[in-house]
Amino acid sequence: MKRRTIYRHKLLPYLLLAPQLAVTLVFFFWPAGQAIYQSVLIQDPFGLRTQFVWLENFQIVLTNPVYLESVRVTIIFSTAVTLLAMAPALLLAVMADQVVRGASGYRTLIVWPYAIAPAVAAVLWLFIFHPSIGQIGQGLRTLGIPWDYRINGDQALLLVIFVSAWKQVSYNFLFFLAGLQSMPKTILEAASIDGASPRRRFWMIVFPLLSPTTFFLLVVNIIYAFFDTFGVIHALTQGGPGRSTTTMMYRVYRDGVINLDLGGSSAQSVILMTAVIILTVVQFKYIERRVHY
Amino acid sequence: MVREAEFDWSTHMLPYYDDVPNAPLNSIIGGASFWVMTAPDRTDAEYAAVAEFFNFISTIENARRWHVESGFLPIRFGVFEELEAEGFYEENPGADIPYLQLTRAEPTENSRGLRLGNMPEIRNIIQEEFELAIQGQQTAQQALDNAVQRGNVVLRAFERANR
Repeated sequence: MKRRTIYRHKLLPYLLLAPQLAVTLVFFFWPAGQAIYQSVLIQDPFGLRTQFVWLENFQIVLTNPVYLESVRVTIIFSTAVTLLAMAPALLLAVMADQVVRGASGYRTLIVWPYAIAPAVAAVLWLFIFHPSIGQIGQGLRTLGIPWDYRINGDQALLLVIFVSAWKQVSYNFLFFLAGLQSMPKTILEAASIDGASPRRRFWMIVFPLLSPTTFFLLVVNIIYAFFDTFGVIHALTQGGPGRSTTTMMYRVYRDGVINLDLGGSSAQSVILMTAVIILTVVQFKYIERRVHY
Repeated sequence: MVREAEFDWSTHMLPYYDDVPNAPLNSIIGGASFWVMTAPDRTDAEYAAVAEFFNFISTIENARRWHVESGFLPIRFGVFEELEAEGFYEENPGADIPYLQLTRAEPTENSRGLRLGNMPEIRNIIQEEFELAIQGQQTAQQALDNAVQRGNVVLRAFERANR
């Protein structure tokens, strides 16, 4: 029999949901609708002159080599950030799970980066990796490595990937740790009695049982890499030397807020939203089938 | 800088290639400006007030105070001559260089200033192409050609949006 919470007043559940629904309506549906509306118009920056142009904005955007370059950067960036954020988190979670003394201390320290605002994290690592005022930045240069992410596009992308991934490791770590700690000990004990080595136990039992967590984190990390990394990119490289760290999200900002090309950037917004929705749907349809529950 | 700098420094005019015809020219002005926007129900009194305000900030005393206290350029003629006569520029060497550079020559069509549609976007394009050239990914000529080509697309888009 399913347990249900029964509210005495009929209206109460709706009232309790109302604030969150209001926030979602005002801060997601309204701007999304506005973006879809503006993406079929060509306007001047003040909105005084408006022309209806059907899908021409989309056509202009999708045939623009600069935009296609940002798509390429986004794919590289998101893949790298997701991998680099999830693998160390899993490793740390496995190690933290086995620690007996000072466990809560390790957990607190590993979770700290998640509490930092993205722009603050970016400035923090800027002060470490800056070629003239950063310890590691200066160190690399004295070793003879030509480290200067302000003029080298690949180095800028590397730095931005690293900082974005570093911020997200804590979040993944928390979920992996929770998943590991809710693992049924009986199966693992049975496996070790049967003579399975720790490595085999991990890859054949623990990892598949962690798959719901891994799948969830995959979805969340990809969305993070697409959208929430704007702060890091803006604070560190502003799109990078010569467009090398301009992701699709940053391109939307550059075209919408700075260049005031409202139609073009709304079209890019709609494309980005569609891309992430499709990605998430694909993940749910195909990868969820392989998840053990 | 006069107060705090612990090193020797001085101000000079921008260098130029003397084999370019008409060199040296004036430098191009930049910075903020006032734009008056209208609305459907502006009264004559409001327009008069706007004119009054502009007259106020462009009086010689106000322009002079702005220039002396902030170091920015005076926004009208007359201030420079007055301060020069008073010896202000001997006491503050280098404060006259920006003015002298702006008035160095009679402006040509191109050196009169930049008024381009979607100027922030074009400026960013130029900077991007410049950065790519510094990285070694393209030559200076390619950078300029790309900037011209992309800038023209932006200008056409501006023309279309504001028709």
